[in-house]
Amino acid sequence: MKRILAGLALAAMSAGPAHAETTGLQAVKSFLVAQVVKVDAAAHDYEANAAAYQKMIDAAGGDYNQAALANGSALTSLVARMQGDYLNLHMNGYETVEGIAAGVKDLVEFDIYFDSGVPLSQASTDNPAAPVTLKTPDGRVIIDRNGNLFHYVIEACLYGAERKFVKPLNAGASAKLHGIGALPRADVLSASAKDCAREADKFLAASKRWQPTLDQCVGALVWMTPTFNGYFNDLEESLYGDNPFAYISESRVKDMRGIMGSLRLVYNAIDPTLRKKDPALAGQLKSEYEKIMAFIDESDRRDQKMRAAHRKLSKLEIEEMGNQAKTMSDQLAPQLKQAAAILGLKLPPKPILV
Amino acid sequence: MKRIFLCLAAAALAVCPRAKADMADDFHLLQQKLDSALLDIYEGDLDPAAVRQLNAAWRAIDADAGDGASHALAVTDIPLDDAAARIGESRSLLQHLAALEMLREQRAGHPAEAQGWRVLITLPKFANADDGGILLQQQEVRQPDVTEALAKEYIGWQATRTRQLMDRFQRIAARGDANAACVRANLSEIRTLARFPAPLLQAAGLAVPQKEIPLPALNAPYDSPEAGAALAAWRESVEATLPNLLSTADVDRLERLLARFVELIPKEYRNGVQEGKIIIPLEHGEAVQFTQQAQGLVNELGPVWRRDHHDAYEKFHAELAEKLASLEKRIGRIEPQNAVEANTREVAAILEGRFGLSARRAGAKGQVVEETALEVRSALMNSLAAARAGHWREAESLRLDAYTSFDSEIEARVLPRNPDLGRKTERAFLDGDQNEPGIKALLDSRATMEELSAGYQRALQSLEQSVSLLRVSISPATVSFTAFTIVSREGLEAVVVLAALLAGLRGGSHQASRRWVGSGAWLALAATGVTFWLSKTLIQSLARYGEKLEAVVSILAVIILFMVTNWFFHKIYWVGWNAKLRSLSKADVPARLEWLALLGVGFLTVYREGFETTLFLQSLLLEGSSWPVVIGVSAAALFIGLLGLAIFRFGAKLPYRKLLVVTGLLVVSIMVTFVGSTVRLFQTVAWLPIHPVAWLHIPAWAGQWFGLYPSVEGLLLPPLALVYVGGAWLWVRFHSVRVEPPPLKQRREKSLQPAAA
Repeated sequence: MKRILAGLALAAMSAGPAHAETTGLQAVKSFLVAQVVKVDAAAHDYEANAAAYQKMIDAAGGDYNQAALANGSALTSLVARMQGDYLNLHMNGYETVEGIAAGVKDLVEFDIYFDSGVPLSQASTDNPAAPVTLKTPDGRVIIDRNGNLFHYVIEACLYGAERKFVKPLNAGASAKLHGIGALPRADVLSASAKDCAREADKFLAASKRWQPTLDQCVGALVWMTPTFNGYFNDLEESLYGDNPFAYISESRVKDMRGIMGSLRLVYNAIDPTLRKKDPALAGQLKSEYEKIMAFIDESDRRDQKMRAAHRKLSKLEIEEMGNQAKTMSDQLAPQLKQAAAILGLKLPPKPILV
Repeated sequence: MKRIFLCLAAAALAVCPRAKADMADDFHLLQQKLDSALLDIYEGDLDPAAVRQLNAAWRAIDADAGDGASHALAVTDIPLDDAAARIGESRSLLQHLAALEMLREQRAGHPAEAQGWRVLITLPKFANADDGGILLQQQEVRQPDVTEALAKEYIGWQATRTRQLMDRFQRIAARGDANAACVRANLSEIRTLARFPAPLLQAAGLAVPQKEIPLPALNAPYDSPEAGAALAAWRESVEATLPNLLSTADVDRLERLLARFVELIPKEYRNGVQEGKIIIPLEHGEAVQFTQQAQGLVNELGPVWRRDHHDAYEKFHAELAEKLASLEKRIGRIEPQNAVEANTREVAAILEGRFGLSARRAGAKGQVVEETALEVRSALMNSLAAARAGHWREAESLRLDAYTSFDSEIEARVLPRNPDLGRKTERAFLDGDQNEPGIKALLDSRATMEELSAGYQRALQSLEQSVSLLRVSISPATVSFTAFTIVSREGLEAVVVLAALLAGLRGGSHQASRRWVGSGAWLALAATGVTFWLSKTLIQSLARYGEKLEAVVSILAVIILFMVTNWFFHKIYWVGWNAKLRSLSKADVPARLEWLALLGVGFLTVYREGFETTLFLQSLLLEGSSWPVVIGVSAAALFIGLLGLAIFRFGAKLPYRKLLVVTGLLVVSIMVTFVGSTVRLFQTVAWLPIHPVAWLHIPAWAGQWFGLYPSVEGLLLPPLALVYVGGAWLWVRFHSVRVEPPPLKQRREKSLQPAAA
């Protein structure tokens, strides 16, 4: 046994940093592909559920009240399943790889399409418009470059945030559905589901094609790490500003965990190579990412504690949290640059700009 | 036995990496606990257990620290009722402690440990953390200059952080969000951060302020005009105690640099962006970097302007910062060129009109490194843009401009400090190495834009490392040693060639010839002296042609060496060589010019080396006082003199033919080296193309000493010299056999007799 262990240790030692680097980069890719497979599966499940939903509405001749009265529980069950699909698509799926997808040139188009693209009217070079255009089977435009697929279409339709994407129910139909006042429009769900499945297939293919490099990994870290500062502005805005929906606690904390977790994984790909040249800097960067993860948990704990007590975090607390987050990312930016210089890597420009 | 085990265990602990990991873990843990406890206080829910944990975490840090001054900073008794102030204080003290420990490890010659503490230090926004990191990777890490540079770097960071913390606190107070605990924590943190420990200030060569910083009398409500005024007044008193890291010369240099950055931003942007798209990411990246560096400089110069241009500072500093921030956003959003140019003009107008800055002001000679680096960067970026437009000759010419500036002002300074970095950077401009071709090679092969961008990026990175390295002055011992090495190396070559020449002219009948060669050599020494003097005045303006002048002198030296080699073979194989040489001279050179040829041989042999030595020594002199250079040159002169004497003495004892063979071989080897170096020079000044041999790795010293460089031209042309020598030998031998029918033995015996014998 000792011999085996010694042999393994020797093999591990002789593998060296080059092997570790390849392993690290491969781990990033494997993680990405595994998560995107889940996204793709959720997209196809959503497509099937949307088709079943459409069928029920069509069976009622497109009358949502009649459909609710005839198949109320089946409809609500399908909506609940599609909401579950959306959680798997978004929070449990895409958000876990957002740090990679949004930080890499080869994949950034999917980030813009699914998650970060804005309406054409608000677009700028560093905030590009999502090229999402959906039409009903008879050719009527549902959405034409008016925001990304997740937040502006699927979420808005499934959770009723956008009035034009839902059909209000009359009192009888609403009573049948235990007080639910509206149902999502089947044509919006069908069109978005088909689009989502098609783009998820492409995303999966692109993820499988992608060959990660150290340059891209450092670029993803540099461009994506500071994004977590903005969450505290949103938190303050939701508690004290005009937009109470700016920060939906559960989703945004998952969002932060997803992005920073994937960045921690990306950093791990660089770590062995950097550790060989500057162990202190490598150790510090690793610790900083661990600290950020712990900080997100701590911030969430504080927020949840206050919400449970029907109180809210004070502006000063949120400011201090934002300050601590900013201190961490201000610290990381020059150190990542230093790491890139030590490793002789070129820092790629922000992916959406190229 | 137990003792031995204990000692071994202690030794293992001393070298165990776990100790370092513990230190970093302890540091992070304390930081996390301080941050968390402060939030608990703001929430009004600080648990006494949390305070006990804070004290325990401080004790762990205290145990990790090895410096007496560090122990004095440790806070191990935070009371529950004044926790806010002590937490604010602790946050800053932790920074000072890490800095003191960093310096302790650096002074002890432990760069990894020093870097271990350094990376824990909290940085301000836009911090440059590269310089200290590069210094800690140098061999001479214990140097006092490194201590000073690291201490200054730290003080610069924390002075900026102090200002950033004050900005933030004033904002919180003005918004009405501050409570009493927030006031205590922030004032305490800011005051402690501004109060640098005396050992740190001393290490940076700065005066230790005698005055304490009093805390302001702030009363709630903290957003009242009275509180605002009290805070503003307190800020002034804190600002007054912050160390001034900038001398008048530094301020002058940074102001010129700032003006240059602002001048270059729209140029880089124009090259990198067209019709709302980034066409050359590297150029766009340079525009972003220059804007960020300009923001950093405005921050750095802020306190000086507050003192020297108070009114302008009060009225325009915030506007300037705002305009630079909007410029950065415009560049980030790829806005139209007009918008970026208009924004830059506004920034330039404030700098020039309100603060009196201009890029056209001349700088002092010794402070040209950063500005030269900027020129090099700019020329490289223009070169890349020209290559992208398909203007390859213009791209090459701009590359050469960049290289010439780099070579004369930066490389020459880097070589004595870090020869590997100097040569690596030089190669990034020329042929590069196995996996990473240099810019000239890429331009010659009309590489793709992606390959070109990568090549330019590599050159820029090496350039940046070189500039960082030059922020520390060089030790006098290193200057002396470098001067000694340069003069010895160049002198050795000259002595060998001269020895070969004079050996061939042994005997009384050649006294006149020897005199001409010797006079040429002495004349060359005098000419080297004159060149040295002129290089300070006249040649300074011709600095950009230094490489070309050197190439011309080199090719003349190579021609002379060819003549000398040719002559050797005639001498060895031609019976009655003297008469033949005379006839050869008559055939090749008019008789009346024979003395001139001999004088020229002696002159060029020595002057080629003298010219190169002059260029090197001038650069060394820029680095400090002349004495270390004088000592190095004198020692080398003595060494070369003794060596020359030994060679002549030894040569005199050798049989004549053996001497000719030995010196002949030396001359041939030097000729091959000369040809290799000259090919390299011709490639450097773009008179020859460069085709790297990617699979071949030749160490840098082989280039320095034997003129061997891994390019097709560098590998093919020097052997041609050998072909010439071989051909000459065969021709002479064949011809001599035809001319001189006597047997070889007889012929050799005859030829071995010196003419005078």
